[in-house]
Amino acid sequence: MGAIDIVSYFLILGLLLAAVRVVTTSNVIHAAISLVFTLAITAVIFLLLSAEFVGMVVVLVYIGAVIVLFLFGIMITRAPLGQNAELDNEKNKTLGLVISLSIFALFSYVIINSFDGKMNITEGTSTQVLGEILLTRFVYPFEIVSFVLLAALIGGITLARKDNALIDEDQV
Amino acid sequence: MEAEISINYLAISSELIVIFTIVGTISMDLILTKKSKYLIALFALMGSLISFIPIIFQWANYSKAIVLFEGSYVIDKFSIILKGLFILITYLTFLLSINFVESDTYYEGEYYFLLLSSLLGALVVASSRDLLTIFIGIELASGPMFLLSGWRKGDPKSNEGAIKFFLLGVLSAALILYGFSLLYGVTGKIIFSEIVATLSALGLHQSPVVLLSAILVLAGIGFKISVVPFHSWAPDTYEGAPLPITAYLSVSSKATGFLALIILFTKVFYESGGSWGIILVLISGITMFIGNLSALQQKNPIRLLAYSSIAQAGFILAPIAVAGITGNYKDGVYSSITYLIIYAFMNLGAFLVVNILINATGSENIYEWGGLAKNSPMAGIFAVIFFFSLAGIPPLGGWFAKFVVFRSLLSTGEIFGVLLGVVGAINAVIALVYYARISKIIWMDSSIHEEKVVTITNPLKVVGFISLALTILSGIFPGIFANLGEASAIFFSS
Repeated sequence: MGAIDIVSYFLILGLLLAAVRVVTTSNVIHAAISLVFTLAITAVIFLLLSAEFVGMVVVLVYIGAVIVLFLFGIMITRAPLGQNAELDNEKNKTLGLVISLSIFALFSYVIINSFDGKMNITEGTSTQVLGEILLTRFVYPFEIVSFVLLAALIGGITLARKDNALIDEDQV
Repeated sequence: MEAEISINYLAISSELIVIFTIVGTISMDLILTKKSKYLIALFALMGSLISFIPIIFQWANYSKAIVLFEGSYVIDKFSIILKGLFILITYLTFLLSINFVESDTYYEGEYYFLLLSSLLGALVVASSRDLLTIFIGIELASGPMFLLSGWRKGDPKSNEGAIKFFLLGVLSAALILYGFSLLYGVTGKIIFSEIVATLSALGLHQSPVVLLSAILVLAGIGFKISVVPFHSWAPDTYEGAPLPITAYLSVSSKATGFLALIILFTKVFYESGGSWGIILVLISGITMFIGNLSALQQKNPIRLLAYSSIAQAGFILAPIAVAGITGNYKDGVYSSITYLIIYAFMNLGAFLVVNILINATGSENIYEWGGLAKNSPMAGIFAVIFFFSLAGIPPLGGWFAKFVVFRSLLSTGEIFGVLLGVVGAINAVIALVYYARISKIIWMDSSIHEEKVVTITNPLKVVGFISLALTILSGIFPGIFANLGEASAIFFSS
């Protein structure tokens, strides 16, 4: 067991603890901060696997943009800060536990069985190669994705904005 | 630039025309004043019509499949037919929408923009032959639908339906992606043919990881095609969404989901068909029963059609399920796609009828529709033809669709095929009850309202006559689907 393995196990342990914290805490802000830790450790694991581009994207997009948006969203919408008992769902706890444990067991069995603990990191894909391949071989899906984003952007704004017409008719 | 790439722009010209129309609609929306926004609708209609022209030329000059991007994107007869179907459905949905969008305080430009984006996604799915492109296609086809189903902003029902659809849709995307990631993790390839080659080389076709991947993909796509047990969102979303969007959801979105299912399961997972085939047989049978039995109890015509379209999804799924067990994929795909195409037009027609009658009566209760056919014989005839076609009465198109499916199920001699055939036959009878009930109410019951004026605007008439023509023609001249058999043969040889 090399040094990198030991570091990996610690990271994975931290990842698990942070991820469990995201769903168990009854404080929205704490959940968002725990999500930052989860994503940060994920980024580090990607870097250890020499997937530098994915690691950086996780840091920039998820931690930098998405979580900040979460926090702003929570504050701007004046959602109740602090402890919120409604976030805890006591009703189906046992059922949920049974289902999630069985899914966990199934997935672990399949993954351990098929990948056999081997880790084949041949070489990392450099960001330069990735950039070139995105604009040549994968240019078509790359361009199509821009329409997914455009549609989400325009549709989201349209749904979220206040309708002047509706306000005039007192329908809102 | 080190790596040069040449793209055959002619091969993807219908996608390019749709892209141009998308950009055009949103730019026009920016410039035009409120009074001249109807021009956007005209532009979108023209764009979708023009994008059909390359389809005709590709069909007429077809020599062999065009392969782009090292096998990621294939234009063969199979994808040409389905692209034509998607464009036609979108065109008819535009016609259904024109009066609807103008009549209220909706955003016009964004509405057409989102519908066209969804069309682009469907076109991408039809040609995609790798994991990345097909996923992006599925997402682009369904993403705008989340937004459009909540387009009636003032209506809590619409909000509820859209939120349900969105949350389940996101979950289904995650499931599909998980399935893809397992497949990619095992093989390290993304193009379907290379994945299959690697799986064969490693002897992994029956391994747990491939089966888990197939089941995850099945669950994810199950949401899109709303089969039991992934159907719970459909009635609420259909009820809340604007009616043309409901029609589009039940036809085009469903067709896109089925297309993705067919491509993935017959191109990637076909070696493990014995395992997922049995799951699909179960899903298909249960879907038919639950869809039809729930539809029997509905008073609301939109919920009735929602459950009826769930039941029809069971029929479309049945041939693929049995093909998985027998391994005769060509026949299964031929039957499913034939059913899908005929279903698309008769279901659009059924929504047209519901649209006309709800507007005329202002009532979403079929038992209050008594005697409407006397006010408008045209609406009455539309209702009879489309609903009886959905029930599968000859000589309408639905008859041939059901015939093809039953032939495909029974000809195998497989016990599962015969069982599913029996389930299908029972369900065809159950379905006839509620389809005939609507026709009976419209024609024979006495009117409980005073004289209602049933108006059918010209765009709606066009939709009605196109769907009517296709429904009747496909029933009387089933030979036009012979091409489809050839197309599905090409699909499997490439």
